[in-house]
Amino acid sequence: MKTNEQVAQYVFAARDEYIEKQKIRRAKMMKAAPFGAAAVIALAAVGAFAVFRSGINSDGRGTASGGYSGNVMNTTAATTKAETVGYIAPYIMEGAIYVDPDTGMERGWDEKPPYYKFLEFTHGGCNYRCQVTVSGGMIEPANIGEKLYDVTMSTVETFSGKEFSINADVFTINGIDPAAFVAVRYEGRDEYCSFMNMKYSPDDVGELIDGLDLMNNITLGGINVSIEYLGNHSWNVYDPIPVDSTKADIIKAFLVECRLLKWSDEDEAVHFFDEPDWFEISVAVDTVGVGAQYYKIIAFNKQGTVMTNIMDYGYCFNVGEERVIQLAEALGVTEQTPHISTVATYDLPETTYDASGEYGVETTVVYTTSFGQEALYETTVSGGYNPIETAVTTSVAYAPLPETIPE
Amino acid sequence: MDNYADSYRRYLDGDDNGLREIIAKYQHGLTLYINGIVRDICLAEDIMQETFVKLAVKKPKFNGRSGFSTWLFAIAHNCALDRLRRNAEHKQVQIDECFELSDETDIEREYIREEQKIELHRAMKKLSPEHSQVLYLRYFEDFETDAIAAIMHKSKKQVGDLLYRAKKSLRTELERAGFTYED
Repeated sequence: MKTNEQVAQYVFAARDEYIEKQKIRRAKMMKAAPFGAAAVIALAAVGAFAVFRSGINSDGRGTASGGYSGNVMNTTAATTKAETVGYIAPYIMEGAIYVDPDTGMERGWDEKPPYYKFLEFTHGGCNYRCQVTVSGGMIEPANIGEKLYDVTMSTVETFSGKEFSINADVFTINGIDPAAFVAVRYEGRDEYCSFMNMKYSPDDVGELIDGLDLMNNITLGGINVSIEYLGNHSWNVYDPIPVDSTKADIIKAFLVECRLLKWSDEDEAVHFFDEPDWFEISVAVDTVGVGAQYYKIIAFNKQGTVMTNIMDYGYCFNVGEERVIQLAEALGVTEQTPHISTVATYDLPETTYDASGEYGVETTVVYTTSFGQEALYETTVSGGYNPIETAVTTSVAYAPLPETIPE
Repeated sequence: MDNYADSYRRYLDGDDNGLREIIAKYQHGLTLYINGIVRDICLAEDIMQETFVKLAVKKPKFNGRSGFSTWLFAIAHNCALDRLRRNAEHKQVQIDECFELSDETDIEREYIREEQKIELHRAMKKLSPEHSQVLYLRYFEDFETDAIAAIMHKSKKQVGDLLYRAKKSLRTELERAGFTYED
């Protein structure tokens, strides 16, 4: 346990280091300013031109080999620390929490399937980690390729301290670089579980696109737009903007346009959401079984940074503020009408109603802007909790923002 | 506005002792709360420090719409979720650092102190993360429901329901452990 003073020392040391880094970065930017500005403008202009004149097939997909054969931008982003991206410090992996949905209690060791207990292995310098408990993680048998090798995975049960092992077969996944993902079939089981290499470190955006065959595999969900909440903390209240085929083509074209860009400094991913103005697109990569169940995104902030957590680690590249705003306009983000979001009350029978004061009746919160918009979030609650457990239904209703926002 | 908002204002005005006071007050409470989210005391302590680093470096604006502690716990909550989001970094604390960092029992003794409450806190660890978080905020940090809603990014109604379910789960857990449960 750290003392107050130790924490304070750590915090102030981190602050001083940050200030020092900012000074260095500012000095570098001053030196590189004429170059940097030109690069950003060139990046936006050449990128847009490249997308619209070239390469993508009419259905928005890449070539059959999974790569992209059209013209791409021939420029690089300002920072190129690819060697730092994808590095994961060593750690001990314990079993994942497996909660009974009815009781909310964690299930016992013997009740857990192997993909909740044996979560990682190392092979050939790659550190593969099971995706089932974090991101969906099951792979269709039709997508399984050839067998690569056998592994034995070990784990320690937290409560008893006992060590357990299991054998498993490792397979390729069709069209996917095994340096990024493999499929694992545990001994005595039929299902194929997705395992991600936590040390996967593609050189540029294009290598990630090809490694995961994203042009053929990516599924795009809704676009969420952030607004400012509690100072600098973001919270989505807009109804997500659906991604139709036109918008999907725009996003894919944007990715293709960025193929040659190198990854930015890790720091950008860490601070990506610090500012309130950003929007994100939920994504799934079905072939490798990630994103279907939990939150995978490609996000864009107003500083021009694009970030994705498809490989869990926050990979960033920078396309410049203008290009992000251009994309936001093309996707209809800036046309989104603000709404009042009213979370309706639970559907409880009057006879079991107990307004015991555990929580209040009504609350209204006013939020500030994002991408030039204003919004109001209102939660209306009509009573206390039901002492007898019943099925809970929640509905959301939307209405236009009133002209006057109450304080 | 509570005194720690004044401490924060003093820090923004250049007095580092303002932040020292906030750290002294909230260090252990934040660690135990974050531990309810990430289920790893090493990582929780790391995120607690990250929360204070965020305060120290970014100096976010505290607008007084909520209590200072609500605001601070909301930042910690976001830091924890951000960390989980960047899942690859989950549990990145080096093993040798853990010897110095983490002993949950010590933190419980230092912060919670009452033996009965410590037992309760331990029983809460067997609940789902959301259940243990909501119980911790309500009964160990004494937050009102609206504050919990702000911290956990939920509506008050959702918090009320969560609290009810969490208490029910806790009752089951305590009864299983041989305790007599009183409302």
